Amino acid sequence: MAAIPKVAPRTVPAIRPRLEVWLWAFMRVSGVLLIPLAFGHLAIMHIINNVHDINACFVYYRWNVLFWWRVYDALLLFLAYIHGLNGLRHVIDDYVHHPGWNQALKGVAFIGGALVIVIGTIALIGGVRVAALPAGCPPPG
Amino acid sequence: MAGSEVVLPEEARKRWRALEWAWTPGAGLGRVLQEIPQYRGRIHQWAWVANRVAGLGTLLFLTIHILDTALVYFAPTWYEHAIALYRHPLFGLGELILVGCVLWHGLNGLRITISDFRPRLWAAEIQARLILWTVVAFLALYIPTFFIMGNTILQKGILGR
Repeated sequence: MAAIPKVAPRTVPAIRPRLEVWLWAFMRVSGVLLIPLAFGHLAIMHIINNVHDINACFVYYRWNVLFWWRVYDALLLFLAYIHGLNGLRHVIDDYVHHPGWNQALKGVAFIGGALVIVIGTIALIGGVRVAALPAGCPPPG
Repeated sequence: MAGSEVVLPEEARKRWRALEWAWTPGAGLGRVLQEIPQYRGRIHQWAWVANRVAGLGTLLFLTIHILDTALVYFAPTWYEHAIALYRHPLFGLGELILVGCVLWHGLNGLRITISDFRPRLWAAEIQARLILWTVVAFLALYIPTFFIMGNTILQKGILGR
């Protein structure tokens, strides 16, 4: 039985939140926000409507006639994708212990993820280019 | 005794080394997949495995989905082709799996978040009950969803082709 060393009680400074703590908080906050956002998105796109109803004109009316859906989709894009990328970082840290591979994979995930978010943001701001569609979009109603 | 250390049996040492030096992503993953059924973490472990698989699956689809929706700006005519692909029954099956993934990841994540802010709930017996309630909530939401979506896939995707 090893002797337990006697250590004088000491006070430790309070932990100042650093990156990892902020990311933990982000995962909780974005996760809770994503429950109504993502479940609502699924209900609208897969239950109330379905992939047979959806086309470029559907997206056009959703984004242009009902502007707030763009805000909704922007929230989904940023919250869900950053939440997912941080989750991927945890998975890489769990399974890939070789320092080089670990850094390389996380680098690829970060750069690729940033690119996807940029592409998504451009499309969200640019909207549907109806003029490029052969038939255009008929007016609603 | 001073200076003594616990030495693990040879087999355990090998397993640890394999996990530590999973030096190619593939080799490490194979070893991890072997370890999962050996670690008897009961329902808690399976909730975690399902959460991870569902999260990765959702991230994969999310990447594809952001890029295909971006086509409405970059190449609207291609967007119509992409959507036509999604109407195939095989993608319908993927859609069912995706909705299940998002539902489980959301409900299970809610359990984890609530437990994080009420640490007493992290007791293993309480967690086992909470996970069972999460499964009940998942089934209550997923079974009707499965039939509604399955009906659409059957009517429009398979019979209406």
